[in-house]
Amino acid sequence: MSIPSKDFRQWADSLDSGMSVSRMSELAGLNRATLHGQIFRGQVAEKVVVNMARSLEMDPLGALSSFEQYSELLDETMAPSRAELLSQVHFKDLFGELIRRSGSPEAAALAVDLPFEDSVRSWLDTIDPGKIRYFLAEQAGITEAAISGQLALNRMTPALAVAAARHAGVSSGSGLVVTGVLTEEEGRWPPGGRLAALRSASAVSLIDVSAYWLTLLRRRALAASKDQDVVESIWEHLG
Amino acid sequence: MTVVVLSSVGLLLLLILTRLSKIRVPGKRLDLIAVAAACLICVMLLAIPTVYVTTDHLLGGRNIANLVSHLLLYVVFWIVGVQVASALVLTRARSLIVGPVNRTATAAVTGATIWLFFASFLPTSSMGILEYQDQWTVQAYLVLGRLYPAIISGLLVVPRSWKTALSVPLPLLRASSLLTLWGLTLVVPSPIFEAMKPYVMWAATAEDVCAYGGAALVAVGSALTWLSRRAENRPDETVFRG
Repeated sequence: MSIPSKDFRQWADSLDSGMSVSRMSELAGLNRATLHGQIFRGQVAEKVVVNMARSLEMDPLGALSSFEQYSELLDETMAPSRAELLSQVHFKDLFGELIRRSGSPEAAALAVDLPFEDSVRSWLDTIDPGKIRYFLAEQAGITEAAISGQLALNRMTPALAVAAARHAGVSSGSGLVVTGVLTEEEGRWPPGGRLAALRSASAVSLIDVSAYWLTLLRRRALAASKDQDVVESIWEHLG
Repeated sequence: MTVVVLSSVGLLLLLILTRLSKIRVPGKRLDLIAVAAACLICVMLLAIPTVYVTTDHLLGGRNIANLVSHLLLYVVFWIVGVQVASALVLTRARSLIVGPVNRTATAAVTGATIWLFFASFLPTSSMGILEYQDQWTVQAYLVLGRLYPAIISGLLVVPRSWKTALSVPLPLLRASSLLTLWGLTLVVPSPIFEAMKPYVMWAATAEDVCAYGGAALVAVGSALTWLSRRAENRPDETVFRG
């Protein structure tokens, strides 16, 4: 679910009547043919609107909310929850914080920026009020396996991310931040919010989030070791 | 054809050379891969007319060379079956191949092959005993010769093998596993083409492509497997990427 071409053209016209596709693609930082293709097929990616708004020094969140399916975006965007912020901290920084609280020197900033492997999954699991994958699959008319497939690639369509945020009752802007459509600032996340959330996290929630990441890491390690077993087996019997 | 045969023979010779150090170690169990490669070399060389005629003259000129070639091919496929099933962790296929079912089947097929051969009238050397195809025993003998490899291959090219081969993290090893599976897949329809040979013109070509193309792909696959092992580019150990 992206933005309908008709609405997109209307919006571009409202910025500068009779804006050419060349100018749009220039503002969006896209190849002209790519944008033309999107318009021709009737669906324009949210990222195009965001990029154009950035180029024109407009608020990307405001620009998106001028479209019908995102009309409630501005109203629904609020400060992110602490749990959300903490879900977007890389395990290196999480484990670093655990070690710091055991008496090691403090790091001045977070080592890893957004997005990182499994960051979308981590956000979705954090805001999940229960069965959110099932809800999203119903909403988008796809299977839960397809959702998992997107998550494995650390992806989620912006529309789905906003729907997830709405369903979970958290800021819609967060959905656009974690999926990389908006920067943290554009999505109304406080500057340094992730670091602050990490520093102020209670010992229990810090350990809980670390345990969550250990589970994910275990899953990755298990998959890797299974692959390695096959390699050894083929070498042993056929090499 | 001869080019495919000779290049496969070359590859297989290389494969054996790479394993010589292993073979020489006393007290070590028989190196099955080297044995299979040696047998396959003989089979492929016997597919070249001049080699076949010369060898057969030495064996008495009554097409015994053809029988030898058939039996060697059974050995090759027995070994390939066991090794590929073990390599790709196909537990059921492996137990079928090393178990009593296949032992009985192998004995029966070998017995039938030998019986059919001697029941046929094959007085002079003829490459692939093509001159005697009007005898039903020769027909049955030729189809049986392809049936055994085809059944073993059929046990190996199940969906699970492809899935396992595709999940191999090293690109070279993945390629070699897939080539081996493609080679085995080619072998599967070979008895059908063999049976069609006397009736349809193109069946002979199709049969050659299946049998020798399949063997060549398996040979290339083994060579690449060996290469990937030497290259020792172990999979990425950084599980904690990021």
